[in-house]
Amino acid sequence: MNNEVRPQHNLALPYRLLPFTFVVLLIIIAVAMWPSDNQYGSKFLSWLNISLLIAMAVSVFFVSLRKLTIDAAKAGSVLRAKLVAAMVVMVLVPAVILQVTANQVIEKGMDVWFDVRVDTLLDKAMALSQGFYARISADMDASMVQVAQDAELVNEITVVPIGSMVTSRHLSKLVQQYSWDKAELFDANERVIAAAQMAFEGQSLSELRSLPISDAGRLSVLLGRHTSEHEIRENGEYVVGYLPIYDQRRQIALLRAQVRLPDNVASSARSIETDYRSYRELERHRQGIKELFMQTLMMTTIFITGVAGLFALFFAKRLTTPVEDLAQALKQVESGEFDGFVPVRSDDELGSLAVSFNSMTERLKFNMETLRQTQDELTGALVSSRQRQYVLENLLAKLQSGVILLDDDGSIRLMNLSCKQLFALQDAEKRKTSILDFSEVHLKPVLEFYQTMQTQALESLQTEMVITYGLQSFKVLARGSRLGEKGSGLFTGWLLVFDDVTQLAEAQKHQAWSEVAQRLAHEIKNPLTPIKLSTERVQRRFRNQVDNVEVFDTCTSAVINQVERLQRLLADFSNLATLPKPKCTQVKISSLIKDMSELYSAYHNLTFEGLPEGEVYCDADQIRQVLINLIDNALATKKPVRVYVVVDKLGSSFFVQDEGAGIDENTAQHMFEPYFSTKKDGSGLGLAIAQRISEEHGGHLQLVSASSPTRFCMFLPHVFPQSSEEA
Amino acid sequence: MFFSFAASAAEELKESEQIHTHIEAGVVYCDVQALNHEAYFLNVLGAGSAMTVYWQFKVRKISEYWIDQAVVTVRLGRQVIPDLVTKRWLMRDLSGGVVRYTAEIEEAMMFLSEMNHAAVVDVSVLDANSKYWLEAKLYSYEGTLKEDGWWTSLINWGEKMGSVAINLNNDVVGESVVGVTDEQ
Repeated sequence: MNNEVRPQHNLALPYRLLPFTFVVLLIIIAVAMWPSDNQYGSKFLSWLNISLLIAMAVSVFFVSLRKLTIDAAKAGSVLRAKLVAAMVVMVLVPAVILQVTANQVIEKGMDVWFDVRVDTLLDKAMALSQGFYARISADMDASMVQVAQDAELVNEITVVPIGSMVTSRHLSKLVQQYSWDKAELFDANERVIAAAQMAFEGQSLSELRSLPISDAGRLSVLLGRHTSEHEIRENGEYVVGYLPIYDQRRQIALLRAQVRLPDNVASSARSIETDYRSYRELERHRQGIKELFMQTLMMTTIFITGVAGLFALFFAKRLTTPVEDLAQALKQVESGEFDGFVPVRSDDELGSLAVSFNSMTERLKFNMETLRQTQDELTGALVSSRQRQYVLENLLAKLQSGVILLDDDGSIRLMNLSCKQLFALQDAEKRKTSILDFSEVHLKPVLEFYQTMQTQALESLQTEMVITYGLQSFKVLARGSRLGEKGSGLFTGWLLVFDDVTQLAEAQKHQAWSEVAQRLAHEIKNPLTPIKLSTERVQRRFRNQVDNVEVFDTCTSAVINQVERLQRLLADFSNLATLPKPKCTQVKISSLIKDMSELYSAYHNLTFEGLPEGEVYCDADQIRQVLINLIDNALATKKPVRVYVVVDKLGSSFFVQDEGAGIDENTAQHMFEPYFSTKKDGSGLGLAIAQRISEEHGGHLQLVSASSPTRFCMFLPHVFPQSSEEA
Repeated sequence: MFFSFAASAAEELKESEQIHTHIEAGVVYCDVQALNHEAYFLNVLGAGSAMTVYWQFKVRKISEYWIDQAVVTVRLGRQVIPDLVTKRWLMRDLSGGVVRYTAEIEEAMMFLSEMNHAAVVDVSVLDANSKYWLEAKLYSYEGTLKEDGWWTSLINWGEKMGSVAINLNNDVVGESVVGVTDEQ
């Protein structure tokens, strides 16, 4: 399974910064739109836009933060973020361009709408209307001044009784004279005393009804001078004039005259006024109107961008959900789970991809199951093989025989511990990679054994060889076999097995000598006693009869002595052959040394050094025999002799050292063999017996130093080996 | 720069804050002028547009450790409707219903920008041992706004024309004296 860590699909830094840049942009726009104190019109739209911008900025900020932290780990989030960003940018860019263009158009449009010529034209039209109205009022005022000087009217009011038509006729004249529509006279109690009216088409009866006097009329009475006012009634606009009429400073009546403004002129004037008002209002709110357009456009832009963002989120989610499912399932497959199923959400390419993916995972699952079964089988086989290898290695390690497995070219493929110990290869282990590296002197027999097999193309070979390493020599039984056949494709090489047969050979030799000794003792011992007894009898009987007694004594004594020597020799043979089993007890080393010191007290060149504590488990008589043999041999050199004991945790070592001339190599090599002696009268069995006694005690006897000072060592272990005891 | 701006703003505010109170016959009256609105009113009225204003007087009881408590709120409305053709301006008191024409635009402007002798609160409503604060705000609308509903305050938050502390202990009931200390 591939556990390689895949790189995370993180958004690049520009993409990460994009939403936050957008947020900053929104905040800058909001600050720029902050309404000033001198802003015209309502600030409601400004605050609404600012609120929308801030809400959008906060939403974008938190959504972006969530997408970049929590949802970033989700599969498909990067693609989704890119899609949303792209769609928002696609909407935002044209919207901003549209906003800027619209602003410019509005700016230019304002200049066109509020042209100076229009302004001047409206001013003139308004002045014209005002002039018309002022003219009518002025005419009314002028007519009132003239009527005030009309003495005939005063006379008629005071003289003519009320109810006659004289006054009314006079009023009719005035109406016609000043083009009034109506003229009325009121007494002090505001009752109509005379009236005249211009008839015109479409006149209704209600217009004949007299209206009450207005505040302006009362003001005129109060002030005592004429006044005029404009009245807007249901049927039209009027200019109404009031004139108090006095007779010698006494007010006798109040004249009210009215002129109806032409409907078409009044309508046009009012229309001009309305247009003028509207235009001025628009002009006054020019900045506000511009801001209204811009704010509305801005709001639309914000709304469109927001909707586009939401739509982009929705669309991107729909688009990336299948991708997310696929990525999630791929992660499961990557982690080794093949149960992931991608739902097929549509019939398009993504749906087809999901179907293909599900089919692929099914096949992968089947293949993985098969692979797992094969792996289990292989693992079982491998475990079995390893177990076999373990058993073989343990077997080789425990095997007392030395084993070397060689390739065809002599390279060492395997060499067990016994082999290394046998040939003392522990230190040279790393250098021995081939049998051809066995270049040391003591290993030459091994190399020659291999070369013999190889050069003669032998299938197997068995031979005995003597390995001499230092002062030690041991016999080795070497057996070699060829393994495998060339061309079979399997392993081919050589298997060499070496066994140390030194002890076996020694035992065989001892056995042979014992048998010889027993046969000799048996064959020779029997006639020796009668020979000796007969010789002693002859000596006693015929000593007085011989001529030369001295020669007779010499001859008979020689026979007797030689017979006795032969008997001793036979006793040694017998001892060698039938050495008794040691009867071991705990013996103090100090007592052993004391005994030997007392025994050899007459020898001044013999020194016993130290009395070490400790005990040895041995047959004291046999050990004394060994020590006596060693000391006798040492004393024979006539040189100073040292005897000392070294006790360690393994056992006790008894050293006998002399300062003689030393021992030559041939002697050192054969001195422990029976019947090897450098003395004329020696049997050559002393050291052989001593060595056998040492070995019977589980120890050994060896020549530690052949050159002067010559030193022998008898080692006795603390623990007596059971096998030896039983043997 | 900020301090110079703040200083000039304070001076401007001081000039515009022509607010005084006095107690007369057990009633707290207020005189207030919006001098900084005169040009605006002249501009609007001269252009033939109607103008409606509402003067709002709010008396709040000063709390030491809590938000000041509103005691009373009074709103008084005035309206001017121009007639450009006849060069007259109709002045209407929306609170009392009095209507009057004027041929002087300055008079119409002052009708809107000044509120003199406005009865705000009866002294009996106030606690003599407490401190009160009177705040005047001006809500101005172009056009003939006939109804002063709650929604109007949503789009127009008014402009503070000044505020003064009402000290009842120093006022002599029944005399028209200025018994207040300017806030600034």
